[in-house]
Amino acid sequence: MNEKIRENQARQNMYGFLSRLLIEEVDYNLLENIKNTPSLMELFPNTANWETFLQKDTKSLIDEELNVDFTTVFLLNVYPYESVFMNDEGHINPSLTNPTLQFYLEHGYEIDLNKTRVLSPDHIAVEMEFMITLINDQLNAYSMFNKEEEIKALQTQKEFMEKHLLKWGVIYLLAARDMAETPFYYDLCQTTLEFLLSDYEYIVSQLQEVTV
Amino acid sequence: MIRTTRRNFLKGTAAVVGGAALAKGVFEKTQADNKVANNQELTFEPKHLDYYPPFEKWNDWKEPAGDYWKKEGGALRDGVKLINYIIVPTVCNNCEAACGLTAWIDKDTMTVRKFMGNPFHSGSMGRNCAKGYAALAQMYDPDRIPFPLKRAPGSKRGENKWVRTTWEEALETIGKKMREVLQRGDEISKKQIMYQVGRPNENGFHVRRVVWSWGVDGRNTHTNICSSNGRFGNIVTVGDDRTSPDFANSRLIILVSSHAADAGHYYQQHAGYIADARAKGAKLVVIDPRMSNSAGMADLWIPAWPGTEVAINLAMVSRLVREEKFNKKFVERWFNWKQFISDKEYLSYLKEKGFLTEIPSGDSFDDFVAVLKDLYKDYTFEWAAQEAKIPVNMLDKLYEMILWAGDRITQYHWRAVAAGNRGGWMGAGRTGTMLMAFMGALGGPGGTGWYKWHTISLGDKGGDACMADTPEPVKAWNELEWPPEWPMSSYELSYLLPHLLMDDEWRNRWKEKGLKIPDKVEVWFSRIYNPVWINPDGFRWVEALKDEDKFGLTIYMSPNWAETAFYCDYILPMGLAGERHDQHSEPTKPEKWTGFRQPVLRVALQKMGWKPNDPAKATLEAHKKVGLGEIWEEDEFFVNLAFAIDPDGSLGIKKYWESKNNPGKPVTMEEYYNAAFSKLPKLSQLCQEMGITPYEYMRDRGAWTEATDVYNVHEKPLPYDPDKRAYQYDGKWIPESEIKIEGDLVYHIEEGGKKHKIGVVKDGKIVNGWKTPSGHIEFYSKTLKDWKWPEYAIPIYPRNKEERKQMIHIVSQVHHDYMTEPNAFALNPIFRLPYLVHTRSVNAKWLMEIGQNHNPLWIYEKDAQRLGIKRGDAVKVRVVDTLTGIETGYFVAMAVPTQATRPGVVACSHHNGRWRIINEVKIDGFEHELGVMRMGSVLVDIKSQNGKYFMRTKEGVKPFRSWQFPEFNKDTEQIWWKGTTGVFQNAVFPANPDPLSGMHCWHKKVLIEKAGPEDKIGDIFVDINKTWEVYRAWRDQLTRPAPGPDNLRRPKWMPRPWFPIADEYWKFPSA
Repeated sequence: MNEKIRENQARQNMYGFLSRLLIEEVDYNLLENIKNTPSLMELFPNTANWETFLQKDTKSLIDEELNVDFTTVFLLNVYPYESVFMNDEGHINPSLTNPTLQFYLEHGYEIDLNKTRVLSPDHIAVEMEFMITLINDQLNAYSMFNKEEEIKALQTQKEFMEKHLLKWGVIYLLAARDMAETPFYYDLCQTTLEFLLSDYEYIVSQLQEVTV
Repeated sequence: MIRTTRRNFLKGTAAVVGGAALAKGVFEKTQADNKVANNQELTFEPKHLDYYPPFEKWNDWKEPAGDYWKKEGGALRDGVKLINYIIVPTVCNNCEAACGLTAWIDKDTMTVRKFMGNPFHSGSMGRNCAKGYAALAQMYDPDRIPFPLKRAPGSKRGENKWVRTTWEEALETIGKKMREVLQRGDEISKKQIMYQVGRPNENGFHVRRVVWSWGVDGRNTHTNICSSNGRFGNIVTVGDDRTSPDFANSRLIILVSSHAADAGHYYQQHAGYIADARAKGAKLVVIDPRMSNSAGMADLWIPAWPGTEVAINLAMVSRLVREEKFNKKFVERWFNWKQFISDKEYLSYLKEKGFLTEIPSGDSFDDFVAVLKDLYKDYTFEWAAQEAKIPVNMLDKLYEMILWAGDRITQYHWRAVAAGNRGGWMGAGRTGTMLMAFMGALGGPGGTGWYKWHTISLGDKGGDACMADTPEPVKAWNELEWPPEWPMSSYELSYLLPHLLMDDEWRNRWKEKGLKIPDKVEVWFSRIYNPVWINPDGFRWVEALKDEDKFGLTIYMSPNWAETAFYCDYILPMGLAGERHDQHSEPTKPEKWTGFRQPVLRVALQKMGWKPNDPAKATLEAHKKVGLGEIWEEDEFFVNLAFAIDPDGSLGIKKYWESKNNPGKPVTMEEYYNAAFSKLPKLSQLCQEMGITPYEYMRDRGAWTEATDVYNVHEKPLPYDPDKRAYQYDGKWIPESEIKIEGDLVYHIEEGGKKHKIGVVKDGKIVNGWKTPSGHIEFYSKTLKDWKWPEYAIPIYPRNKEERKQMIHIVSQVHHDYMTEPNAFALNPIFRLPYLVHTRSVNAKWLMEIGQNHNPLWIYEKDAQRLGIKRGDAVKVRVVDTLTGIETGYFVAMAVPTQATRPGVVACSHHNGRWRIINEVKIDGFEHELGVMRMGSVLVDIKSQNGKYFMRTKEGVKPFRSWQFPEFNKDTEQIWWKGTTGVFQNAVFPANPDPLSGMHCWHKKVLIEKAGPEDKIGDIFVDINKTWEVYRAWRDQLTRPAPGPDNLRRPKWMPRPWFPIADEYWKFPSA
């Protein structure tokens, strides 16, 4: 497997991992996995020094600390929906007129929200999951030596970042980070923020490489 | 703030292997890739509907027979009989969508067992509608004409006495007659050979090259009964004649009486793209007085009164302008507003007419916007609602949708809005296109593109395979096709041919002005064209065709019988979708794709090693060999006819059809189409890499897509080669030295100083621009002003009754002003039924079965109640012309009260009502009688006296035993759709030519009453003396004839379609 494929698969993994944590409360296995994987813990630098995190058993940690914070940050205070941030009214817009949904549909994807508990297709985690599908298109094109399609897939990623994910995600993650009461969700917001910014740079650099 | 670099991040996430699997998987592709299946040898139960065998197996594919399963009760009991197929692609011929087909040919019997879609065809993507699959029923039609027929010596046209003849005899007789005419060589002779065609379904072969190579101005099309008004407004506005909407990516789709499944051009292809768009959230709006299938599914149905759609368009523009919510950037860049605002004389004219209150002193864009606000101030929503007779809130909703959709609006306005109404061009291509233009929705993704951007026309480009390539411009101007009363007509006034031939007074009037107009057509070909049935005033056609002083030799080229065939000299049975060659491309999406229609049995035989005796008659030989009959194809016929006309080459015709590879021999289809397809650069390059010829590629796959995502062609720079120091235009390199820039227009200065516009300058670059004289979207058409129609030079419409009288040329002949009697209605006869297409579907038993009905007259429930009409009642529909007040006749139809048509408007599709005057034809020496349209027409009795015609049904459809293709036609004995097949309306309608475009305006004012005891459903009565008076009134009271500026017959920039006419014939003869 060449480096390009490896790196893009890593991007998909990162998007998958972060979106999972942003979309629902963390579950036992996942948290255990994070706890026991040092390289993953590197993504949570403040959490690594958080005493409660180190002392409490995993179940209690979830029930008594993390789920409470998840509810406070993501369900009660800082709604993780683009329409809330971008509309004057601040309402969630789950209808067909939602511009993010339009983007998905106009790029050949439909969405089944029954698989999640989110209320609208412009949830930050869903937008991050969309990036996985776009990277998939890019990798498919690359493996078929279809440069034209590969460029198209990269351009779509860039466009989606610019028009949607990055446009509001940065502000959102900053707000959510400041609202977080646990180092775990503080770290999650910070890491996601940094990842998105760095990934945008990576998309641009890949586009430059491939169009030379 | 960035804590890590990108690479560090990715290194760190190495630990998140499988992280992607944590995602919820909420996304799914909406469009499955439509690909030929891979690695599958045999499929009993395909897992998806668009399954196709792997391409490399197409020459030898085995599949179980469907009927075997039924007979034997399931698979594998005694083993399954496998059919040994060869799969050959072709293109459907049942409508203009040109969807891909594949013929599945049983190699043991050499019969086609089924037609399926073609997965290589990027337009239809492997899909077909009922008409596509019905190609098989047409191929093995029990009433198929099995050999060429000739009118029996001594008999008269219409007596229907026929003898069997041979193709050789037909070629010799027709060729000799044409030679005699052409040898005269005078101007008149070049107007006396005419090839008249319905929907040809091909790109160029017959359309251009055949008639052109004869050197005559004799190509006559059906366009003026179909789409001239649809085209004219677009030609005036953007210089192209047909919109090509990007439905699939659109946010707002506006279908103006033109429906994907009922009336639009491209049926299932467009329907599929619209469905794709709606799945993505697009809104669908249908404007139509009748609730079509599309209207039933729309987000908004606006049942506007016929012909008032223009008011809705202008009201939308008015509000967009007033609120300054239009796309200013696009309008400022691409409208010819500078030309308009600087023509103060014209602005004064508008002020005099009361449309403008103030003439701006400046010439800025802001001044233009101020003029727009002033000009359109009276077109309020309230005014439009009153004019269209609809609730005003419908317009509010439409406006909201327009704002939401922005530059992603598509519109199709091809059918009733255009073809139904006088001035329909203003409601369709003029204001409809303008509305989209104001939103910037022309050209981009999700917007509306153009025919010429998305179509490949190569059918006439096989010249490289012949001794001579391109014929010279034709030296004649045929007034029988381009009469001077309609100098700007979009295409020929074809439906007026008998009127023009039989009108000595008209001919003499123009002869006095120096025109040379023949009083007879010596040789007349009619191909896929049935004027007696489809044209208005059909009995005028019957009278003209029967008159041998008006029509010399008449040849009907058709796979099946038709009403016109009864009145001709020859009936030549031509091939259907899978029996002829054609290159066929259509603008169904923002791509350039083409299909290759071909005789599939011939191709299969050739692939299996068969060789024809005469390679130039291979299709005919193949069809005889496999028992299809003496069925030929037009392409080979016309190539051979050129040799029959000009055996020694002295007329200069033969060289255009003589093979370069085999001098002295006719060019073969393989040679011709290989040369044509070689003109496609990408296809040629691929074929080079593959080591095959472009012909072979197309023969094997049947379709090719040369370009995708074809958007914004007007913005594309002309290719420039610094080495050549030349720009590329229309495939040719033009040296910089021959280019001249005047203002923002770029011209090619040809030898002799003739200049030709090739582009416009934008941002310092030469770009394509639009094909109008200004290179821009013409809000203001100086052409219309110069050609005597100044009042219609901008998008406009009368605001009140007084203005409607003055501006009658753009007011529908069925406007509600004219509905003065309590039983007066507007009749819409031109909606299509999705399973029937004009003349072409009567020979498909499957389509007749699903299409069987009594073709009712739709009438609004409360209107019916008011007149005491109940479901199933016979009603007399009296046709009244609103210009003259003349009543021309009536037809008797069956009423069906419904809510699916608006109050005051009735509907009855003229796609039904086929008739025959005989059941069978007896041919001396042939054991069987030839059946005549027995599955989809009624036997009628026609009585006539002094121009008064009365037709009554004697007998409907009934079961019969077929001698032809008996295995395929066992079920004709079980025909159950007995009785009538609908009512024939067209003959009752007078010819009503639009004063500008020449379009026959189909809608009619009718008076409806309950039929009397002596009337029967299906009766028609018409007095053709009265239709004659009406036609002459429309011609003489409404038109403004040529010549125009510079003594021209027609504006030079509106090129004559098909082939060039020599410059000197564009002008009126000097007095």
